[in-house]
Amino acid sequence: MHRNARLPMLTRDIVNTPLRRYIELDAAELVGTLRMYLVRAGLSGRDQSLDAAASELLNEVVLEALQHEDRFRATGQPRAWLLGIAANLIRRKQADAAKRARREPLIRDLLADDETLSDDELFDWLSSLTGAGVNEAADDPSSSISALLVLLSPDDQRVIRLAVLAEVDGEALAAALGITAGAARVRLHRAIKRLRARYQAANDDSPAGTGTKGADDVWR
Amino acid sequence: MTIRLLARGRKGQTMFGDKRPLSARMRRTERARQRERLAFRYIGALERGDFEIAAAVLRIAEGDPELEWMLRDVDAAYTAELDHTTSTQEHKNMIAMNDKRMLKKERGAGLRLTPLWFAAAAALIFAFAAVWMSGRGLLPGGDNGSPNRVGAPSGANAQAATATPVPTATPSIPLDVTLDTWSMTEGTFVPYTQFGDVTMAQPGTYVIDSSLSGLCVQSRASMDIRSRPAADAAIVSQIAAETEFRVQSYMLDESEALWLNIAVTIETASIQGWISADNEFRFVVCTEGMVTFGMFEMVAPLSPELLPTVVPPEGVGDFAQTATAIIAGATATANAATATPVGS
Repeated sequence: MHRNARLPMLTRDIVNTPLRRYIELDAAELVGTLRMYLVRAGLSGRDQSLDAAASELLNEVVLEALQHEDRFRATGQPRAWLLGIAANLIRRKQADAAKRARREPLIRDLLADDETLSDDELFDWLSSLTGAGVNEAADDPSSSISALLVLLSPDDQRVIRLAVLAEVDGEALAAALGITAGAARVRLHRAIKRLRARYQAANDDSPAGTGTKGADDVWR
Repeated sequence: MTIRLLARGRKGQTMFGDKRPLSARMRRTERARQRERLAFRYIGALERGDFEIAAAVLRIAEGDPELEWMLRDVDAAYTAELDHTTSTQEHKNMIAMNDKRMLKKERGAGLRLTPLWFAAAAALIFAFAAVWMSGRGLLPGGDNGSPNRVGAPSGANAQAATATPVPTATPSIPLDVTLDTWSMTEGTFVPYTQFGDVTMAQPGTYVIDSSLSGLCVQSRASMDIRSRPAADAAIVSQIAAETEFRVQSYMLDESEALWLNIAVTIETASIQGWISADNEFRFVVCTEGMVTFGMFEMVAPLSPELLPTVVPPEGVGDFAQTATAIIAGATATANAATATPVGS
């Protein structure tokens, strides 16, 4: 009886050791990511300092995680699980902030969905360029791809050309740029977003129907 | 040709080193592309502050270590960017604060001088007027008449204005002390404050004068970067020998150990932390423009007990006079210390 009563506790300790170990050892790294999350979510510097807000969020995340520890998969990635909790808590905070500002959170959600589709579209567009002959076309000033890239700064042009050359592989792009893979992926994302924005602006400015010369057939 | 080369390899092995069959490699490529797509989606979500999508991607990453690693890398890039932005902003704020303080001081100095200049100018005008009038015999009593009889009231006013300085500041707010901190090219940081010709250690926090923002320091050997200015603080990172960095501020602790708060870029990461100043450094100008060497400025208020005990002269609130008195007191203290035999 006694042994049976002890068993679930022992099992849980064994199963969730990586989770607790991660919380104990990597709390500092987690706080750094949470600081960044709060800034990205537009929740920094409202009522308290960023560090204080991140620490508070970490406490909430750990509390939530330990309360629902049984849901964590033994083979799962503790960091992703904890950050997932953090992301949900941030969503809740965003909704509260939106309510306080008397704004409809649904509007933001709808926009977000639209933008998410755009991310996939952008990725697909970039992937479609990695076929044979596209690199040569990008170097050809008369090609439609070049017509698009000319809208960008030389740095952004280089990132996109390298990404096409590397077949949208972040590691290869990072090696070519001499930076970390994460930084390379962020830089690529921003370059493509800027390209899209410039393309739309160019189209808005140009007379109806003309668009950017030769670019319409590429931008899908 | 390609087929022949492939055929020369062992079964299941290509000339490119990947031993898996083509279908497996294609599956792997497809998985890699899916991960890139998810990372792309995650970045887009962070850019927009859309944490619903971020949470969805993280949920997938829970069961995919490779994707989790990719997201970790993305987070690290954003965190480094945030740290860099924050440090740049802090640096700007620090410079702005310093400039503001200097401006205030300059304005204060201008205000202090105004009554003195006014009184001096008035006295001069009256003196010239008296000389001119006596020369023309316009004054009662002629040459023998005293100009003071006419100018006396104004002269007295002027004297009174000169003799009563306007109190401006208490001596405990930031003083115009400067630190001789380095040799011009190579050397060590010397944590001593100059009070006139008296050198003494002054615990406190110091920032670099804004005119020194173009100065870089190179380490001569590898050094640990610590999270706090203490020997037992956690090591944040390490800088290799000959690494160039900027000193943002420094701190002299009670044991007279000097710590430098530095900002350095290691690979692409912007790192801030503390290094011990007990090392040799090389000093270089890392931006274009004029750099004034040799001065750090104290920003932290001096602790009263660290200053020599000097009673300010009565009725004198002027900062410069009080500082002179402090220097005189410090000199006397230093002389007394020199005169006292060791071991007595």
